[in-house]
Amino acid sequence: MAAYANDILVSSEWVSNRLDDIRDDDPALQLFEVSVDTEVYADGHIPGAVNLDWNAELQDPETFDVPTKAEFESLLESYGVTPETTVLLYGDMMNWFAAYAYWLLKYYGHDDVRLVDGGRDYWTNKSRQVSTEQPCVSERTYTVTGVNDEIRVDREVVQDAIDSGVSIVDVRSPEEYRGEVLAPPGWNEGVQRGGHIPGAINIPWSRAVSADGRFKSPSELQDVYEPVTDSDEEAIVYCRIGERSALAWVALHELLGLDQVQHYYGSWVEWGNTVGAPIQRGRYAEQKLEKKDEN
Amino acid sequence: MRELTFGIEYEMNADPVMDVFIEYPDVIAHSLDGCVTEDHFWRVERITGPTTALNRIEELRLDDSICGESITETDCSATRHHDVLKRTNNERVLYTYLEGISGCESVHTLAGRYLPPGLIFETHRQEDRHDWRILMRSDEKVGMLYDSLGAALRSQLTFRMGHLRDAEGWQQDTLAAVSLPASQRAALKAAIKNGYYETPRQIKLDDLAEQLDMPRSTLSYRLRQAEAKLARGYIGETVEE
Repeated sequence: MAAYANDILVSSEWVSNRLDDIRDDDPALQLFEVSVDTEVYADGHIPGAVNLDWNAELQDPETFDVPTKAEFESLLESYGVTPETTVLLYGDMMNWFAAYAYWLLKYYGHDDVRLVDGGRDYWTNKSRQVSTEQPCVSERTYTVTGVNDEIRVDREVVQDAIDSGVSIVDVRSPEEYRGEVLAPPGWNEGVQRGGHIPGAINIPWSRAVSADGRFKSPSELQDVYEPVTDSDEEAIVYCRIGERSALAWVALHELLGLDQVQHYYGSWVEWGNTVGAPIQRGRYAEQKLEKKDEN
Repeated sequence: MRELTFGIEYEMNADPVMDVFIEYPDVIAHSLDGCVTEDHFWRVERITGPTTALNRIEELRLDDSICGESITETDCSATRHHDVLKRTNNERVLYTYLEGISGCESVHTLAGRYLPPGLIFETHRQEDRHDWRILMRSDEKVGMLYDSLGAALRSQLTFRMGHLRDAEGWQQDTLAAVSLPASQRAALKAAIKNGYYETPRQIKLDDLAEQLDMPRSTLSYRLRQAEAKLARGYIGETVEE
C-alpha cells in the first residue's frame, strides 16, 4: 500500500508501547485529548494524556477567532510543551477536534505534531488501558517564531477564489450544504441563510475516515477527494465553525500531500451571516421555519 | 422535557427491514423504544399491512444473522431477543431487546451515548422513511448526537432534520394505528389538505373529486371506507382486510 505523504499518524499500538514515556513529565513527548464532548476525559483517558478544552482553550471567545499568539504560547507553556516537543493528539468523534488542534499547532508553526489514528473510540474499542489520573506537568517556556499564514484564508480571499478555478470543499452534512438545516440542533451556530459558497463541492468530513475511526488508506482518500486532487489549483476547505474542516485539511494537506490547501476558519457561520456574500441554494430562515411547522 | 425529531430515508437494498416497507407501501409501523444503557435497548413495534409483508418482517427480525438496526457501514453484533406479542393477518406486534451492541452505531447507541438516561423513542416507518421522535430530559449534548448521526450514516441513507423544541403531546394511539390502503390514505390526505374536514367544510365533495380528477362516487367510497376503518380501529375492533 502506498504511504501517506507525511508521517503524521501514530497507531494506538505505537502509543501503547510508549505509555511510560508519555506519563513522564518530560518535554520530549506530550499527549493531549481534545474531545468534542469535553466531559468524557474524566471517565477515563489514555494514561498520561492532558485534557484540552476546545471551547475554552482552542478558540478566543471574545473575538470568535483562534487564540492569539500570546494566548497560544501561554497555553502550551502551562502544559509543559516546548517548541521541540512531539505533540500527540487524539479525541472522540473520529479525531474531529483533535484534527483542529493539529491544524492550530501547525498554524502557529509547531514542528512535530502527530494524531493518534482512530482517536478515543478506536482506543477504547481495542480495550486498551485507560486512566482517570490527571498527569502533573511542569510549566515550560514556549515562543512562537512564525505564523503559518499559508494554511489559513479569510473571507475576502474565499470571495476572490469563486470562479477562479480554486476547489472549494464544503465538509458539512449534505442537508446543511443544501440549505435545509440553518441552525443545527444543540449548537449555537445558526445562520440567517442556508446553502453553500457558490461552486463549493460537498465532501462530508466523515468520508475521510473509516467506520472504525481511522483515516482511510491513501488510495481511498485519493478516491474521496478526487475532484480536488484532479485539479492542480489550490483548495479551500470550510465547515460550520471551522473545526471539522481541519480534519479534511489534515487529509488533503498532510496525508495526500497537496501543497496548497487552506482552511477557511470563519466558515459558514461567517459567510452565511455576511451581507452581500453570494450563496447557492440559499433561502431565508423564516421560510425554512414555516416549512418545518408544516411537518 | 425536550424532543428532537428527524427522519432517515433509505435507498432500496440499504437495509433488509426497510426494503420491505419500500416494496409494500401499505405497510406502516409505529414503535416505542427505550434505551437501558448505551449498548442495550428495547422496542415494541406494531406493524400493519399485507400478510406477506408482515411475515417477511417477522422472518427478518427472528433471523439473528440480519441486523436491521445499524445505520453505519457495518452490522451490529449483539445478543438479540425477539418475541411476537400479536399476530393477525394484517397486524404484527414485535418485542425486541438487544444487549451488548458493538461494532456499529444505531440511533439508540448514539442517543444513549450523548443524551441523558431515561430516553423514550417514538418511531414511524413507511415506504423509504423511518421517522424518529426522541424525548429527553435535557438536550445539553444533542448537538453531538446530531453531528455524530450525520457522520455515521452510511452512503445509501439520508438524514432529514425535523425540529428540537419542548416536548408536547403524546401519540396515545401510537400502538393502535390503522393501516389504510394507499388509495384511501391519499383520498384522506387530499380531503384534509383541502379543508373537507373543517367546520364548515371548505370544499364540497364534487369539487374535491374534480380537483383529484376522479369520479365523485370513487372518492366518496374511499373516504367512507377509510373513515370506517379509523373509527373501528379507534374503538379497538380488529379490522381485517
